[in-house]
Amino acid sequence: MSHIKATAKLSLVVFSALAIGSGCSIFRASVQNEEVNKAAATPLNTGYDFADLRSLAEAVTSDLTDSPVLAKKPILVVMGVENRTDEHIDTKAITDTIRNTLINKGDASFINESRRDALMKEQGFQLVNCTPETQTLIGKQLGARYMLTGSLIKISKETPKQISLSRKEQVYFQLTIEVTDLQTGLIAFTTQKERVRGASKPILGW
Amino acid sequence: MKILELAPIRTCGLLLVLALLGIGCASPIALNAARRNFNNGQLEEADKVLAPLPNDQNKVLTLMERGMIRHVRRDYTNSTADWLTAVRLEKELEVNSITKAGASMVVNDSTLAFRGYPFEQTYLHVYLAKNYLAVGQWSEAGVEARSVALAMENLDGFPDDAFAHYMAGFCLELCGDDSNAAMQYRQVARVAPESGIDETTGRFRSASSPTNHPVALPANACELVCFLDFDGYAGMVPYSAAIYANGQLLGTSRTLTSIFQLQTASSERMATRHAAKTLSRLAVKGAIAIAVWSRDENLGFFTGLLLLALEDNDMRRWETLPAKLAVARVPCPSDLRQFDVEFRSYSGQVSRRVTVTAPLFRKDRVFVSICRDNP
Repeated sequence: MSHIKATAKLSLVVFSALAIGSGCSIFRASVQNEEVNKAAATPLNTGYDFADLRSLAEAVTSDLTDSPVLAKKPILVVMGVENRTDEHIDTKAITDTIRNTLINKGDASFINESRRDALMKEQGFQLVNCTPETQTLIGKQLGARYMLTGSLIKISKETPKQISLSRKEQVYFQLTIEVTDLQTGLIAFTTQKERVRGASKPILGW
Repeated sequence: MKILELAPIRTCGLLLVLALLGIGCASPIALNAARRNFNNGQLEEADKVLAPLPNDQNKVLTLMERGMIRHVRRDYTNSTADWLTAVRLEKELEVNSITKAGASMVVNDSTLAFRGYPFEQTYLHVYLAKNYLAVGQWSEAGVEARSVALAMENLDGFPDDAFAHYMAGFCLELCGDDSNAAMQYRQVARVAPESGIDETTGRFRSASSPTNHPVALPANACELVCFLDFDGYAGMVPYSAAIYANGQLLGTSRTLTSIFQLQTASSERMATRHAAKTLSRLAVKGAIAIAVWSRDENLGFFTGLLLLALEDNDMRRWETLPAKLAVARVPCPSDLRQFDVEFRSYSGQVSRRVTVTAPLFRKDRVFVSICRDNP
Protein backbone atom coordinates (compact mmCIF):
# COMPACT_ATOMS: atom_id res chain seq x y z
CA MET A 1 0.00 0.00 0.00
CA SER A 2 2.72 2.45 1.06
CA HIS A 3 4.66 1.37 -2.03
CA ILE A 4 1.85 2.49 -4.32
CA LYS A 5 1.50 5.83 -2.51
CA ALA A 6 5.22 6.48 -2.69
CA THR A 7 5.22 5.72 -6.43
CA ALA A 8 2.21 8.02 -6.94
CA LYS A 9 3.94 10.81 -5.05
CA LEU A 10 7.13 10.38 -7.03
CA SER A 11 5.18 10.45 -10.31
CA LEU A 12 3.44 13.67 -9.26
CA VAL A 13 6.75 15.34 -8.38
CA VAL A 14 8.36 14.21 -11.65
CA PHE A 15 5.32 15.37 -13.70
CA SER A 16 5.32 18.76 -11.99
CA ALA A 17 9.06 19.19 -12.52
CA LEU A 18 8.67 18.26 -16.20
CA ALA A 19 5.74 20.61 -16.66
CA ILE A 20 7.58 23.54 -15.11
CA GLY A 21 10.94 22.69 -16.66
CA SER A 22 9.58 22.20 -20.15
CA GLY A 23 8.04 25.69 -20.10
CA CYS A 24 4.42 24.54 -19.93
CA SER A 25 2.32 27.55 -21.03
CA ILE A 26 0.39 27.55 -17.74
CA PHE A 27 3.54 28.51 -15.86
CA ARG A 28 5.18 30.81 -18.37
CA ALA A 29 4.59 34.39 -19.45
CA SER A 30 5.16 35.08 -23.11
CA VAL A 31 5.31 38.10 -25.39
CA GLN A 32 5.35 38.09 -29.16
CA ASN A 33 4.66 40.45 -32.05
CA GLU A 34 1.48 39.69 -33.92
CA GLU A 35 0.29 40.59 -37.37
CA VAL A 36 -2.40 43.30 -37.05
CA ASN A 37 -4.94 41.77 -39.44
CA LYS A 38 -4.57 38.36 -37.85
CA ALA A 39 -4.89 39.77 -34.32
CA ALA A 40 -7.95 41.80 -35.35
CA ALA A 41 -9.64 38.64 -36.58
CA THR A 42 -9.58 37.07 -33.11
CA PRO A 43 -11.50 39.23 -30.64
CA LEU A 44 -10.78 38.56 -26.96
CA ASN A 45 -14.03 39.95 -25.55
CA THR A 46 -17.22 41.72 -26.60
CA GLY A 47 -15.92 45.22 -25.83
CA TYR A 48 -14.80 47.83 -28.34
CA ASP A 49 -11.26 47.08 -29.51
CA PHE A 50 -8.75 48.03 -32.20
CA ALA A 51 -10.42 45.71 -34.69
CA ASP A 52 -13.60 47.77 -34.35
CA LEU A 53 -11.68 51.01 -34.74
CA ARG A 54 -10.14 49.77 -37.96
CA SER A 55 -13.19 48.13 -39.48
CA LEU A 56 -15.65 50.92 -38.63
CA ALA A 57 -13.30 53.70 -39.80
CA GLU A 58 -12.38 51.83 -43.00
CA ALA A 59 -16.02 51.18 -43.86
CA VAL A 60 -16.97 54.82 -43.31
CA THR A 61 -13.99 56.05 -45.34
CA SER A 62 -14.92 53.75 -48.20
CA ASP A 63 -18.49 55.14 -48.26
CA LEU A 64 -17.22 58.71 -48.05
CA THR A 65 -14.78 58.20 -50.91
CA ASP A 66 -17.60 56.93 -53.13
CA SER A 67 -19.92 59.82 -52.22
CA PRO A 68 -20.36 62.91 -54.44
CA VAL A 69 -19.43 65.11 -51.46
CA LEU A 70 -15.77 64.41 -52.04
CA ALA A 71 -15.95 64.82 -55.84
CA LYS A 72 -14.40 68.31 -55.73
CA LYS A 73 -11.82 67.40 -53.07
CA PRO A 74 -13.36 69.79 -50.49
CA ILE A 75 -11.98 71.13 -47.22
CA LEU A 76 -13.48 69.51 -44.12
CA VAL A 77 -13.33 70.22 -40.41
CA VAL A 78 -13.72 67.41 -37.88
CA MET A 79 -15.95 68.35 -34.95
CA GLY A 80 -15.85 64.98 -33.19
CA VAL A 81 -17.80 61.78 -32.78
CA GLU A 82 -20.02 61.72 -29.70
CA ASN A 83 -19.46 58.70 -27.46
CA ARG A 84 -22.95 57.59 -26.36
CA THR A 85 -21.85 54.23 -24.96
CA ASP A 86 -21.07 53.12 -21.40
CA GLU A 87 -17.42 52.49 -22.31
CA HIS A 88 -14.63 55.06 -22.28
CA ILE A 89 -13.83 54.98 -25.99
CA ASP A 90 -11.41 57.29 -27.76
CA THR A 91 -13.74 58.34 -30.58
CA LYS A 92 -11.16 60.84 -31.81
CA ALA A 93 -9.17 57.83 -33.01
CA ILE A 94 -12.04 57.03 -35.41
CA THR A 95 -11.97 60.47 -37.04
CA ASP A 96 -8.14 60.46 -37.01
CA THR A 97 -8.19 57.21 -39.00
CA ILE A 98 -10.78 58.54 -41.46
CA ARG A 99 -8.85 61.79 -41.90
CA ASN A 100 -5.53 60.00 -42.33
CA THR A 101 -6.88 57.86 -45.18
CA LEU A 102 -8.67 60.70 -46.96
CA ILE A 103 -5.65 63.02 -46.81
CA ASN A 104 -3.23 60.34 -47.99
CA LYS A 105 -5.52 59.38 -50.89
CA GLY A 106 -5.89 63.06 -51.81
CA ASP A 107 -9.67 62.90 -51.58
CA ALA A 108 -10.08 65.82 -49.17
CA SER A 109 -8.20 68.45 -47.16
CA PHE A 110 -8.73 69.06 -43.47
CA ILE A 111 -8.52 72.09 -41.21
CA ASN A 112 -6.33 71.36 -38.18
CA GLU A 113 -8.97 72.54 -35.72
CA SER A 114 -7.31 70.91 -32.69
CA ARG A 115 -4.14 72.99 -33.19
CA ARG A 116 -5.90 76.25 -34.06
CA ASP A 117 -4.78 78.02 -30.87
CA ALA A 118 -1.14 76.94 -31.33
CA LEU A 119 -1.30 78.05 -34.95
CA MET A 120 -2.54 81.53 -34.02
CA LYS A 121 0.15 81.79 -31.36
CA GLU A 122 2.87 80.88 -33.85
CA GLN A 123 1.54 83.37 -36.37
CA GLY A 124 1.56 86.06 -33.68
CA PHE A 125 5.14 85.16 -32.81
CA GLN A 126 6.21 85.35 -36.46
CA LEU A 127 4.53 88.70 -36.89
CA VAL A 128 6.69 90.20 -34.15
CA ASN A 129 9.94 88.25 -34.42
CA CYS A 130 10.46 86.88 -37.95
CA THR A 131 11.88 88.46 -41.09
CA PRO A 132 9.22 89.74 -43.54
CA GLU A 133 10.22 87.26 -46.28
CA THR A 134 9.71 84.23 -43.96
CA GLN A 135 6.60 85.50 -42.15
CA THR A 136 3.37 83.61 -42.86
CA LEU A 137 0.62 85.92 -44.02
CA ILE A 138 -2.23 86.67 -41.65
CA GLY A 139 -5.82 86.13 -42.76
CA LYS A 140 -4.93 83.64 -45.49
CA GLN A 141 -6.23 80.48 -43.83
CA LEU A 142 -8.76 78.46 -45.76
CA GLY A 143 -12.28 77.89 -44.51
CA ALA A 144 -13.88 74.46 -44.40
CA ARG A 145 -16.87 73.72 -46.62
CA TYR A 146 -18.05 70.69 -44.70
CA MET A 147 -18.17 69.63 -41.07
CA LEU A 148 -17.68 65.97 -40.11
CA THR A 149 -19.52 64.79 -36.98
CA GLY A 150 -21.00 61.56 -35.70
CA SER A 151 -22.03 59.38 -32.81
CA LEU A 152 -21.24 55.93 -31.51
CA ILE A 153 -23.87 53.94 -29.63
CA LYS A 154 -23.79 50.60 -27.87
CA ILE A 155 -26.59 48.19 -27.01
CA SER A 156 -25.88 45.11 -24.89
CA LYS A 157 -28.02 42.17 -23.98
CA GLU A 158 -27.31 39.10 -21.90
CA THR A 159 -29.11 36.02 -20.74
CA PRO A 160 -31.20 36.58 -17.60
CA LYS A 161 -30.26 34.98 -14.28
CA GLN A 162 -30.74 31.24 -14.54
CA ILE A 163 -29.09 28.01 -13.45
CA SER A 164 -26.34 27.48 -15.98
CA LEU A 165 -22.54 27.31 -16.06
CA SER A 166 -22.14 30.20 -18.45
CA ARG A 167 -23.74 33.52 -19.30
CA LYS A 168 -24.20 34.64 -22.90
CA GLU A 169 -23.98 38.24 -23.98
CA GLN A 170 -24.20 40.15 -27.22
CA VAL A 171 -22.85 43.65 -27.75
CA TYR A 172 -23.88 45.83 -30.68
CA PHE A 173 -22.08 49.00 -31.76
CA GLN A 174 -23.39 51.46 -34.33
CA LEU A 175 -21.32 54.31 -35.72
CA THR A 176 -23.12 57.15 -37.52
CA ILE A 177 -21.07 59.67 -39.46
CA GLU A 178 -22.54 62.86 -40.90
CA VAL A 179 -21.03 65.46 -43.23
CA THR A 180 -22.84 68.80 -42.99
CA ASP A 181 -22.58 71.56 -45.59
CA LEU A 182 -21.48 74.61 -43.57
CA GLN A 183 -22.95 76.98 -46.15
CA THR A 184 -26.46 75.53 -46.32
CA GLY A 185 -26.62 73.67 -43.02
CA LEU A 186 -27.89 70.60 -44.84
CA ILE A 187 -26.57 67.11 -44.18
CA ALA A 188 -24.71 66.32 -47.40
CA PHE A 189 -23.73 62.78 -46.52
CA THR A 190 -24.49 60.25 -43.80
CA THR A 191 -23.57 56.64 -43.24
CA GLN A 192 -24.09 54.04 -40.51
CA LYS A 193 -21.82 51.11 -39.76
CA GLU A 194 -22.50 48.43 -37.20
CA ARG A 195 -20.99 45.38 -35.60
CA VAL A 196 -22.35 42.80 -33.21
CA ARG A 197 -20.28 40.35 -31.18
CA GLY A 198 -21.40 37.54 -28.92
CA ALA A 199 -19.56 35.82 -26.10
CA SER A 200 -20.15 33.23 -23.48
CA LYS A 201 -18.77 33.93 -20.01
CA PRO A 202 -18.21 31.13 -17.50
CA ILE A 203 -19.80 31.50 -14.09
CA LEU A 204 -17.25 29.26 -12.36
CA GLY A 205 -13.48 29.43 -12.47
CA TRP A 206 -10.43 28.57 -10.36
CA MET B 1 0.19 2.95 8.22
CA LYS B 2 2.24 5.91 9.38
CA ILE B 3 0.70 7.97 6.62
CA LEU B 4 -2.79 7.24 7.98
CA GLU B 5 -1.71 8.21 11.48
CA LEU B 6 -0.41 11.52 10.21
CA ALA B 7 -3.64 12.32 8.31
CA PRO B 8 -5.32 14.35 11.09
CA ILE B 9 -2.20 16.46 11.57
CA ARG B 10 -2.11 17.12 7.86
CA THR B 11 -5.77 18.12 7.88
CA CYS B 12 -5.08 20.57 10.69
CA GLY B 13 -2.02 21.90 8.92
CA LEU B 14 -4.00 22.35 5.71
CA LEU B 15 -6.73 24.18 7.58
CA LEU B 16 -4.21 26.47 9.24
CA VAL B 17 -2.57 27.25 5.91
CA LEU B 18 -6.01 27.90 4.37
CA ALA B 19 -6.92 30.13 7.27
CA LEU B 20 -3.72 32.14 7.11
CA LEU B 21 -3.87 32.44 3.34
CA GLY B 22 -7.56 33.22 3.36
CA ILE B 23 -7.73 35.79 6.11
CA GLY B 24 -4.98 37.99 4.64
CA CYS B 25 -4.53 40.22 7.67
CA ALA B 26 -2.19 42.82 6.15
CA SER B 27 -4.70 44.74 4.00
CA PRO B 28 -7.42 45.21 6.70
CA ILE B 29 -4.80 46.80 9.00
CA ALA B 30 -3.73 49.22 6.25
CA LEU B 31 -7.35 49.93 5.35
CA ASN B 32 -8.28 50.75 8.93
CA ALA B 33 -5.23 52.99 9.34
CA ALA B 34 -6.07 54.83 6.11
CA ARG B 35 -9.70 55.28 7.18
CA ARG B 36 -8.60 56.69 10.54
CA ASN B 37 -6.32 59.17 8.76
CA PHE B 38 -9.10 60.06 6.33
CA ASN B 39 -11.60 60.73 9.13
CA ASN B 40 -9.01 62.92 10.91
CA GLY B 41 -8.43 64.94 7.76
CA GLN B 42 -4.90 63.55 7.21
CA LEU B 43 -5.51 62.81 3.56
CA GLU B 44 -1.87 62.65 2.48
CA GLU B 45 -1.09 60.13 5.22
CA ALA B 46 -4.16 58.10 4.28
CA ASP B 47 -3.05 58.03 0.65
CA LYS B 48 0.46 56.95 1.64
CA VAL B 49 -0.81 54.06 3.78
CA LEU B 50 -2.67 52.61 0.81
CA ALA B 51 0.06 53.33 -1.74
CA PRO B 52 1.19 49.68 -1.93
CA LEU B 53 -1.84 47.96 -3.40
CA PRO B 54 -2.43 44.51 -1.85
CA ASN B 55 -2.89 41.60 -4.21
CA ASP B 56 -5.45 39.85 -2.05
CA GLN B 57 -9.20 39.59 -1.59
CA ASN B 58 -9.38 43.25 -0.53
CA LYS B 59 -7.91 44.71 -3.70
CA VAL B 60 -11.22 46.14 -4.99
CA LEU B 61 -12.06 47.54 -1.54
CA THR B 62 -8.61 49.14 -1.26
CA LEU B 63 -9.06 50.73 -4.68
CA MET B 64 -12.48 52.04 -3.64
CA GLU B 65 -11.07 53.60 -0.46
CA ARG B 66 -7.91 54.95 -2.09
CA GLY B 67 -9.94 56.38 -4.96
CA MET B 68 -12.12 58.25 -2.45
CA ILE B 69 -9.10 59.57 -0.53
CA ARG B 70 -7.64 60.87 -3.79
CA HIS B 71 -11.02 62.26 -4.87
CA VAL B 72 -11.26 64.31 -1.67
CA ARG B 73 -7.60 65.39 -2.17
CA ARG B 74 -8.70 66.61 -5.64
CA ASP B 75 -6.23 64.23 -7.25
CA TYR B 76 -8.92 63.39 -9.79
CA THR B 77 -6.62 61.70 -12.32
CA ASN B 78 -5.33 59.06 -9.90
CA SER B 79 -8.70 58.71 -8.22
CA THR B 80 -10.26 57.96 -11.60
CA ALA B 81 -7.50 55.45 -12.40
CA ASP B 82 -8.16 53.64 -9.11
CA TRP B 83 -11.91 53.48 -9.60
CA LEU B 84 -11.65 52.39 -13.23
CA THR B 85 -9.34 49.56 -12.11
CA ALA B 86 -11.82 48.67 -9.36
CA VAL B 87 -14.65 48.52 -11.93
CA ARG B 88 -12.57 46.24 -14.19
CA LEU B 89 -11.52 43.93 -11.33
CA GLU B 90 -15.06 43.79 -9.98
CA LYS B 91 -16.32 42.67 -13.41
CA GLU B 92 -13.67 39.93 -13.48
CA LEU B 93 -15.03 38.70 -10.14
CA GLU B 94 -18.33 37.81 -11.82
CA VAL B 95 -16.62 34.46 -12.43
CA ASN B 96 -16.95 32.67 -9.08
CA SER B 97 -13.67 31.14 -7.90
CA ILE B 98 -14.17 27.51 -6.83
CA THR B 99 -11.00 27.53 -4.70
CA LYS B 100 -11.95 30.71 -2.83
CA ALA B 101 -15.54 29.53 -2.39
CA GLY B 102 -14.11 26.29 -0.94
CA ALA B 103 -11.85 28.23 1.44
CA SER B 104 -14.80 30.38 2.54
CA MET B 105 -16.66 27.19 3.53
CA VAL B 106 -13.96 26.26 6.08
CA VAL B 107 -12.83 29.74 7.18
CA ASN B 108 -15.33 32.59 6.68
CA ASP B 109 -16.66 34.91 3.96
CA SER B 110 -13.73 37.33 4.39
CA THR B 111 -11.66 34.91 2.30
CA LEU B 112 -13.82 35.76 -0.71
CA ALA B 113 -12.73 38.63 -2.92
CA PHE B 114 -14.66 41.78 -1.95
CA ARG B 115 -17.11 42.95 -4.60
CA GLY B 116 -19.36 45.10 -2.46
CA TYR B 117 -23.12 45.35 -2.53
CA PRO B 118 -24.70 46.45 -5.82
CA PHE B 119 -25.06 50.00 -4.49
CA GLU B 120 -21.32 50.14 -3.79
CA GLN B 121 -20.61 48.91 -7.33
CA THR B 122 -22.98 51.59 -8.66
CA TYR B 123 -21.29 54.26 -6.56
CA LEU B 124 -18.00 53.53 -8.30
CA HIS B 125 -19.68 54.87 -11.44
CA VAL B 126 -21.42 57.71 -9.55
CA TYR B 127 -18.09 58.92 -8.15
CA LEU B 128 -16.31 58.41 -11.46
CA ALA B 129 -18.95 60.70 -12.95
CA LYS B 130 -18.22 63.20 -10.15
CA ASN B 131 -14.51 63.06 -10.98
CA TYR B 132 -15.20 63.75 -14.65
CA LEU B 133 -17.57 66.61 -13.74
CA ALA B 134 -14.86 68.04 -11.46
CA VAL B 135 -12.49 68.33 -14.43
CA GLY B 136 -15.12 69.39 -16.96
CA GLN B 137 -15.05 66.18 -19.03
CA TRP B 138 -18.79 66.09 -19.73
CA SER B 139 -18.85 63.28 -22.30
CA GLU B 140 -16.82 60.98 -20.00
CA ALA B 141 -19.27 61.79 -17.20
CA GLY B 142 -22.01 60.79 -19.64
CA VAL B 143 -20.33 57.41 -20.16
CA GLU B 144 -20.44 56.80 -16.40
CA ALA B 145 -24.04 58.05 -16.26
CA ARG B 146 -25.03 55.34 -18.74
CA SER B 147 -23.30 52.73 -16.54
CA VAL B 148 -25.25 54.03 -13.53
CA ALA B 149 -28.53 53.92 -15.46
CA LEU B 150 -27.81 50.35 -16.62
CA ALA B 151 -26.93 49.24 -13.10
CA MET B 152 -30.17 50.74 -11.74
CA GLU B 153 -32.30 48.99 -14.35
CA ASN B 154 -32.05 45.55 -12.79
CA LEU B 155 -31.88 45.93 -9.01
CA ASP B 156 -33.01 42.38 -8.24
CA GLY B 157 -34.55 43.35 -4.89
CA PHE B 158 -31.70 45.63 -3.81
CA PRO B 159 -32.61 49.20 -2.78
CA ASP B 160 -33.22 51.93 -5.33
CA ASP B 161 -31.26 55.16 -4.99
CA ALA B 162 -32.44 58.67 -5.83
CA PHE B 163 -28.98 60.27 -5.80
CA ALA B 164 -27.55 57.77 -8.32
CA HIS B 165 -30.54 58.44 -10.60
CA TYR B 166 -30.04 62.20 -10.22
CA MET B 167 -26.35 61.99 -11.05
CA ALA B 168 -27.11 59.88 -14.13
CA GLY B 169 -29.88 62.28 -15.20
CA PHE B 170 -27.76 65.38 -14.75
CA CYS B 171 -24.74 64.00 -16.67
CA LEU B 172 -27.02 62.90 -19.52
CA GLU B 173 -28.64 66.35 -19.50
CA LEU B 174 -25.19 67.96 -19.82
CA CYS B 175 -24.50 65.66 -22.80
CA GLY B 176 -27.71 66.82 -24.47
CA ASP B 177 -29.53 63.50 -23.98
CA ASP B 178 -32.64 65.17 -22.55
CA SER B 179 -35.08 62.27 -22.97
CA ASN B 180 -32.92 59.82 -21.01
CA ALA B 181 -32.15 62.53 -18.47
CA ALA B 182 -35.88 63.07 -17.91
CA MET B 183 -36.29 59.30 -17.47
CA GLN B 184 -33.74 59.38 -14.64
CA TYR B 185 -35.37 62.45 -13.06
CA ARG B 186 -38.69 60.58 -13.12
CA GLN B 187 -37.01 57.81 -11.11
CA VAL B 188 -35.78 60.42 -8.59
CA ALA B 189 -39.37 61.66 -8.22
CA ARG B 190 -40.53 58.08 -7.66
CA VAL B 191 -37.84 57.14 -5.11
CA ALA B 192 -37.68 60.51 -3.30
CA PRO B 193 -40.99 62.34 -3.89
CA GLU B 194 -40.27 64.62 -0.91
CA SER B 195 -37.35 66.15 -2.84
CA GLY B 196 -39.82 68.19 -4.93
CA ILE B 197 -37.97 67.50 -8.17
CA ASP B 198 -39.40 68.69 -11.46
CA GLU B 199 -39.22 65.56 -13.61
CA THR B 200 -38.74 67.43 -16.87
CA THR B 201 -35.96 69.83 -15.87
CA GLY B 202 -34.25 68.24 -12.85
CA ARG B 203 -34.74 71.46 -10.89
CA PHE B 204 -36.31 71.50 -7.45
CA ARG B 205 -39.56 73.18 -6.50
CA SER B 206 -39.71 75.55 -3.58
CA ALA B 207 -42.62 75.33 -1.15
CA SER B 208 -44.40 78.17 -2.97
CA SER B 209 -43.92 77.00 -6.58
CA PRO B 210 -46.85 75.29 -8.35
CA THR B 211 -46.49 71.54 -8.82
CA ASN B 212 -48.08 71.37 -12.29
CA HIS B 213 -45.62 73.69 -14.08
CA PRO B 214 -42.00 72.97 -15.01
CA VAL B 215 -39.49 74.94 -12.93
CA ALA B 216 -38.00 77.33 -15.48
CA LEU B 217 -34.75 79.26 -15.24
CA PRO B 218 -35.19 83.01 -15.87
CA ALA B 219 -34.02 84.13 -19.34
CA ASN B 220 -30.25 84.72 -19.55
CA ALA B 221 -29.83 83.46 -15.97
CA CYS B 222 -27.32 80.79 -14.96
CA GLU B 223 -27.65 78.02 -12.43
CA LEU B 224 -25.27 76.22 -10.10
CA VAL B 225 -25.47 72.47 -9.58
CA CYS B 226 -23.41 71.41 -6.59
CA PHE B 227 -23.17 67.78 -5.47
CA LEU B 228 -22.72 67.66 -1.71
CA ASP B 229 -21.38 64.89 0.53
CA PHE B 230 -22.46 65.06 4.16
CA ASP B 231 -20.02 63.39 6.54
CA GLY B 232 -20.89 64.76 9.92
CA TYR B 233 -17.44 66.21 10.43
CA ALA B 234 -18.58 68.45 13.29
CA GLY B 235 -20.00 65.46 15.15
CA MET B 236 -23.42 65.55 13.52
CA VAL B 237 -24.41 64.66 9.96
CA PRO B 238 -25.80 67.83 8.34
CA TYR B 239 -29.45 67.85 7.36
CA SER B 240 -29.08 70.33 4.53
CA ALA B 241 -26.77 72.95 3.06
CA ALA B 242 -27.45 76.55 2.08
CA ILE B 243 -25.63 78.07 -0.88
CA TYR B 244 -24.54 81.71 -0.85
CA ALA B 245 -22.83 83.88 -3.47
CA ASN B 246 -21.72 87.47 -2.78
CA GLY B 247 -23.44 87.23 0.59
CA GLN B 248 -26.80 86.43 -0.98
CA LEU B 249 -28.69 83.17 -0.35
CA LEU B 250 -29.11 81.30 -3.64
CA GLY B 251 -31.00 78.30 -2.29
CA THR B 252 -30.76 75.11 -0.28
CA SER B 253 -29.82 71.52 -1.01
CA ARG B 254 -32.02 68.42 -1.20
CA THR B 255 -30.74 65.29 0.51
CA LEU B 256 -31.47 62.35 -1.77
CA THR B 257 -29.70 59.35 -0.26
CA SER B 258 -28.50 57.92 3.02
CA ILE B 259 -25.67 55.42 2.62
CA PHE B 260 -26.62 53.85 5.97
CA GLN B 261 -30.12 53.10 4.64
CA LEU B 262 -28.70 51.61 1.43
CA GLN B 263 -26.32 49.47 3.53
CA THR B 264 -29.09 48.27 5.84
CA ALA B 265 -31.51 47.48 3.01
CA SER B 266 -28.80 45.61 1.10
CA SER B 267 -27.86 43.59 4.21
CA GLU B 268 -31.53 42.69 4.71
CA ARG B 269 -31.78 41.60 1.07
CA MET B 270 -28.83 39.23 1.59
CA ALA B 271 -29.74 38.10 5.14
CA THR B 272 -31.36 34.79 4.16
CA ARG B 273 -28.52 33.83 1.83
CA HIS B 274 -25.92 34.72 4.48
CA ALA B 275 -27.75 32.73 7.16
CA ALA B 276 -27.99 29.67 4.91
CA LYS B 277 -24.31 29.89 4.07
CA THR B 278 -23.29 30.29 7.72
CA LEU B 279 -25.32 27.20 8.66
CA SER B 280 -23.73 25.18 5.83
CA ARG B 281 -20.27 26.35 6.85
CA LEU B 282 -20.88 25.38 10.49
CA ALA B 283 -21.98 21.94 9.29
CA VAL B 284 -18.81 21.55 7.21
CA LYS B 285 -16.65 22.69 10.12
CA GLY B 286 -18.42 20.27 12.44
CA ALA B 287 -17.87 17.40 10.00
CA ILE B 288 -14.15 18.20 9.72
CA ALA B 289 -13.74 18.40 13.51
CA ILE B 290 -15.56 15.05 13.99
CA ALA B 291 -13.41 13.40 11.28
CA VAL B 292 -10.23 14.52 13.07
CA TRP B 293 -11.72 13.61 16.48
CA SER B 294 -12.27 10.04 15.32
CA ARG B 295 -8.49 9.69 14.83
CA ASP B 296 -7.23 11.85 17.68
CA GLU B 297 -9.46 13.36 20.35
CA ASN B 298 -7.11 16.19 21.36
CA LEU B 299 -6.43 17.15 17.80
CA GLY B 300 -10.15 16.98 17.03
CA PHE B 301 -10.91 19.33 19.91
CA PHE B 302 -8.18 21.71 18.78
CA THR B 303 -9.41 21.61 15.17
CA GLY B 304 -13.01 22.32 16.22
CA LEU B 305 -11.85 25.21 18.37
CA LEU B 306 -9.74 26.66 15.59
CA LEU B 307 -12.53 26.42 13.02
CA LEU B 308 -15.04 28.04 15.36
CA ALA B 309 -12.55 30.81 16.18
CA LEU B 310 -12.27 31.54 12.48
CA GLU B 311 -16.04 31.97 12.19
CA ASP B 312 -16.66 35.68 11.61
CA ASN B 313 -19.14 37.95 9.86
CA ASP B 314 -17.90 39.61 6.71
CA MET B 315 -18.20 43.25 7.74
CA ARG B 316 -16.18 44.71 4.89
CA ARG B 317 -17.71 47.76 3.26
CA TRP B 318 -16.70 50.94 1.45
CA GLU B 319 -16.34 53.08 4.57
CA THR B 320 -15.14 56.37 3.09
CA LEU B 321 -18.46 56.89 1.33
CA PRO B 322 -20.24 59.86 2.96
CA ALA B 323 -23.16 59.41 5.33
CA LYS B 324 -25.59 61.25 3.06
CA LEU B 325 -25.58 62.63 -0.47
CA ALA B 326 -27.34 65.80 -1.52
CA VAL B 327 -27.63 68.14 -4.46
CA ALA B 328 -28.20 71.86 -4.65
CA ARG B 329 -29.51 73.25 -7.94
CA VAL B 330 -29.94 76.96 -7.58
CA PRO B 331 -29.98 80.08 -9.82
CA CYS B 332 -26.68 81.95 -9.65
CA PRO B 333 -24.88 85.00 -11.06
CA SER B 334 -23.40 84.52 -14.54
CA ASP B 335 -19.95 85.63 -13.30
CA LEU B 336 -19.78 83.10 -10.45
CA ARG B 337 -16.16 82.63 -9.30
CA GLN B 338 -16.80 81.20 -5.84
CA PHE B 339 -19.65 80.40 -3.49
CA ASP B 340 -20.17 79.54 0.17
CA VAL B 341 -21.75 76.38 1.52
CA GLU B 342 -23.32 76.48 4.96
CA PHE B 343 -23.89 73.02 6.42
CA ARG B 344 -26.94 73.01 8.68
CA SER B 345 -28.42 70.64 11.24
CA TYR B 346 -32.09 69.57 11.33
CA SER B 347 -32.87 72.53 13.60
CA GLY B 348 -31.18 74.95 11.18
CA GLN B 349 -28.07 75.42 13.28
CA VAL B 350 -24.96 76.11 11.16
CA SER B 351 -22.31 73.47 11.79
CA ARG B 352 -19.74 74.63 9.28
CA ARG B 353 -19.26 77.13 6.46
CA VAL B 354 -16.85 76.57 3.57
CA THR B 355 -15.95 78.67 0.56
CA VAL B 356 -15.75 76.75 -2.70
CA THR B 357 -13.55 78.08 -5.49
CA ALA B 358 -12.73 74.76 -7.12
CA PRO B 359 -13.75 72.55 -8.76
CA LEU B 360 -16.11 74.93 -10.52
CA PHE B 361 -16.69 74.39 -14.24
CA ARG B 362 -19.18 75.98 -16.55
CA LYS B 363 -21.04 74.46 -19.48
CA ASP B 364 -23.36 76.89 -21.26
CA ARG B 365 -25.62 78.25 -18.51
CA VAL B 366 -24.76 75.64 -15.90
CA PHE B 367 -22.00 75.83 -13.30
CA VAL B 368 -21.01 72.46 -11.86
CA SER B 369 -19.24 71.88 -8.57
CA ILE B 370 -18.75 69.32 -5.80
CA CYS B 371 -18.22 69.80 -2.09
CA ARG B 372 -17.69 67.48 0.87
CA ASP B 373 -18.15 68.19 4.54
CA ASN B 374 -14.85 66.57 5.49
CA PRO B 375 -12.20 67.86 7.94
